[in-house]
Amino acid sequence: MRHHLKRSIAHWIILVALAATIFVGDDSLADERLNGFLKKAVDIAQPKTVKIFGASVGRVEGYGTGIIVSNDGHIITGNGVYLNGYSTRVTLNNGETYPVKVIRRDSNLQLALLKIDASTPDFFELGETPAAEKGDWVIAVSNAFKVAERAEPLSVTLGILSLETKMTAKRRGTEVIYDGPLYLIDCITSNPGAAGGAVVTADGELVGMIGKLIESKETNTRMNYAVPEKLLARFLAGKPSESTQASTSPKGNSKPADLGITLFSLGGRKSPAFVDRVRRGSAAKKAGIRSDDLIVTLAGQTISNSTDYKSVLATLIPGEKTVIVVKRRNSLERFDIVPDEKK
Amino acid sequence: MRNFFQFLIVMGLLQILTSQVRGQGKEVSDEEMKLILAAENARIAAVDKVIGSVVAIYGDVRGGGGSGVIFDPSGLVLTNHHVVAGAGVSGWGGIADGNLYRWQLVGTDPGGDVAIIRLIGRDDFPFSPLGNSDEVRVGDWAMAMGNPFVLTEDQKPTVTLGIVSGVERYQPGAGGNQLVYGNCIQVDSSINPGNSGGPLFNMQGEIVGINGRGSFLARGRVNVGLGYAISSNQLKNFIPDLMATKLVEHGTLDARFANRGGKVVCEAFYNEGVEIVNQGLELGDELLEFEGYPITSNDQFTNLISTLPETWPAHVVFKKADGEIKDVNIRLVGLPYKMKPPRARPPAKKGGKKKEPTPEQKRALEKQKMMAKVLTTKAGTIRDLKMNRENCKIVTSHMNRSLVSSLNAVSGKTIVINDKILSADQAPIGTQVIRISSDGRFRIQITEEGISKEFVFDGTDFWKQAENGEIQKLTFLRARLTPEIVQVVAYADLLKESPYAIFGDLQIDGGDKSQNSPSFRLKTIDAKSDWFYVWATIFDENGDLDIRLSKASADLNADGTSGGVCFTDWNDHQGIHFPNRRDFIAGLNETLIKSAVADRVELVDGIDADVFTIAKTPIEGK
Repeated sequence: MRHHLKRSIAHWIILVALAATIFVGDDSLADERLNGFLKKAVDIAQPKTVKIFGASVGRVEGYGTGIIVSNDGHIITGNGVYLNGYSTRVTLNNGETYPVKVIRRDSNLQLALLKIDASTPDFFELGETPAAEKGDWVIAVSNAFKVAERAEPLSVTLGILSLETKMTAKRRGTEVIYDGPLYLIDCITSNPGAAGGAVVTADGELVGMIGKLIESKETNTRMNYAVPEKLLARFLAGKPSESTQASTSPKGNSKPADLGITLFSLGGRKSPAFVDRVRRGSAAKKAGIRSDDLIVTLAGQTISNSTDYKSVLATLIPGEKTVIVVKRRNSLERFDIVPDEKK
Repeated sequence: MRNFFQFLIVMGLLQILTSQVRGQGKEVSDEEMKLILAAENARIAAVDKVIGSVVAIYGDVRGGGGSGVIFDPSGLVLTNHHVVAGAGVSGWGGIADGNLYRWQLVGTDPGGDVAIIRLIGRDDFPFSPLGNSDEVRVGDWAMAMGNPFVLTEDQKPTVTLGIVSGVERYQPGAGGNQLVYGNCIQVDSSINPGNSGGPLFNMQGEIVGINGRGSFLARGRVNVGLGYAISSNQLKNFIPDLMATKLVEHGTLDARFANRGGKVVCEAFYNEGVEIVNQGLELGDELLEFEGYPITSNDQFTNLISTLPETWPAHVVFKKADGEIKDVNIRLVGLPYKMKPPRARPPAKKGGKKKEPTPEQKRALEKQKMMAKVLTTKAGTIRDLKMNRENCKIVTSHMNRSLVSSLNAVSGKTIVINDKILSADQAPIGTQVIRISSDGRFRIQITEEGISKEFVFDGTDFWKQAENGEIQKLTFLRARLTPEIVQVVAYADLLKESPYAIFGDLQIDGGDKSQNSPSFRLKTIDAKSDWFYVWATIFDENGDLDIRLSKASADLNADGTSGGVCFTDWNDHQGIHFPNRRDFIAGLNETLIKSAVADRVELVDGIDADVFTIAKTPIEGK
């Protein structure tokens, strides 16, 4: 790396003059280099990506994005609430709008396969060979924030495929059960309506699909990621996703933790975390927790109410020892506790 | 970590330039490295070229701030309305040289979120040209510059690079016809609070937009990858009105349209006595064209009209129920701001006790009051005539510079123009010889359809000599209404120290369109409240600032008896620029009546006083 940089610096100095001649001397070349390289990808990806409009539920937006995966109207998108209504519609790049039939869903990968009654000659052919690897430019095409309607083109954002990884860290406060491989990308795709959008290379080849929003309740941050193309291909072919197998295997660690504690329910989410009951044989019983204890900290985090307790509980990993501190009468008591798997 | 980041950039760039090469595990060849570094250097060069023109804008009262960009060496700065609405009518602006300069509010447009302020203290501020935002394409690189999170300590702006994510976007306003982003540019360049008012540059270093907002919905006020910039072409339409120190309203046809079966049809009128109704539009008529763009959807029409100011002369084509196609030019009416007058708020009382406000709080209160005054002035009126006249001087000095390469080139000389006169269908109908002295005197000898006449301006008075030798002194009003005089005086008087002063006090009347291009409209007012209008286009066909005489008329719409004159086909003749073609026109649509086209333009040494005096016998035409 060091050698590499040294060489860069040398080139830097030499090339200041050279660059000037290249980029001032030939405007058309400069324009191509500076502005042209993404146009191809944009032109290829736009007609293969669709807008989806449906019913919104509460504060969850009633729109999304999808990618066309066959010439006869098959579309893959995220498994969003906007698919649940009766009036879900898909709007193609040319502004034509069609009603949607949901063919299949995958609760694991949070994918849905849709079908519209239209011929769709522009579509992504799904394959198993990755079109990009880490460090490559990728372009995300989506209808984040519903900036486009009818025939208006979708948003295009640029990023880099950061890496392919398993979501081992995602357990911290998220409710996503999927833990298979994903692509992390460094452009912001975690926006309302972006899920289902296409992630393509600079040549317009499909890399993956923008996944449903994954948000940490603990840090209030969101993941920018894509579901790899090969998983989409398997979903389209009707094969079960990898992670379904993973999560049913004995080694799967995606089960939520359980301590066997029931808190006093005083109504409201901000009630103090007083222990009402401790289930017989549970982790809490073994640790020595009793009724009427007030939980003060769990796993090093301050618990000021029952909501705090629930969110910290969600981050615990079954079988992994942690510490709970309770107030009992006038003293603080500290216990080691080993969470069980929730049944 | 830094190495890793550089590695990512290098890999990414490699991917662009050699799209087939997979970076991982492969050595970067010298050839590839050259290209990578060349691309990087080009980017650095583009940043260097423009970074000096970016302004960090602060109010006088501590807290907050925004960004702006200088577009004229006199220190005129484009920014957002919401930046000045927060900062007040004056404050401090920092540029990359590390210096802070005082600024004053010039004009503001709450409807489109644009404002102009002027930095004071230099006449050679670094500035950047405005590009043509119609040429911006999705996928173009887009550099945003500004002062996000009021980050800078040394006034150097922050640069964030991204791509254009969408064009022709519409972002609805904040209510009361305010802060509407029509036909705007969407980017994934990081736009954060404090970036507001800062420029969006293309890789040629041209301003293509002013960054004003992002999709911050339910995400906290930080970048989420969707930022919006007001297009440079919209800015061009508003610059003259803003420099005239107006509170600018946006234009409307007072008619509502809707998509019906693939057509865009008129659905309702907002008022009685709507001008476009007088021009023949009825409910159910189909809108075909607006400002030269074929209309395919109502959204598109809304997008286009939201970029135009009040009184803009819009070109509208519509189809009547009986199939008749109507082509009209109509001045847009203002879309009033339904705003509550911002109230100056005294500092909150604490604990029920009335506290004496600190000097800081007093100043803040005073500034709020001044801003409230600006925002409650009557829209479309000149708020500060003194500042307007200063800006007008900037405009006329640009116009003057567009005539001559240097004043010395023309000083003590006479410009001699031999014209042929052509009818509207370009048939020759006569000739004329024009002599203009470098101090603005002139003589015009016309032979048109067999009849000769002469006009002379001797520096004090206008004279007319008919074919029979009869000499008549013309009043200034009469002179303004004579297009043969207008075609020369609008040019010749620009050579003077105070152009058009013979007709009265000059000011910027506002924005307008002339020769299909956004223009300044200047106006003189004399003691009798008579007026004369001169138009100047703001930009050349490349979008570079080039304020140039474009039209002159005694009538606002050139629809009176005299019509007006358009100046075109500028050519260089030994260091002077002269409009080889002068079109005599009438009406808002500039219908051609006749033209004067130069066969020969010469610069002759010396000024013959006799030529510019009427009492002598007529001299022989060349």
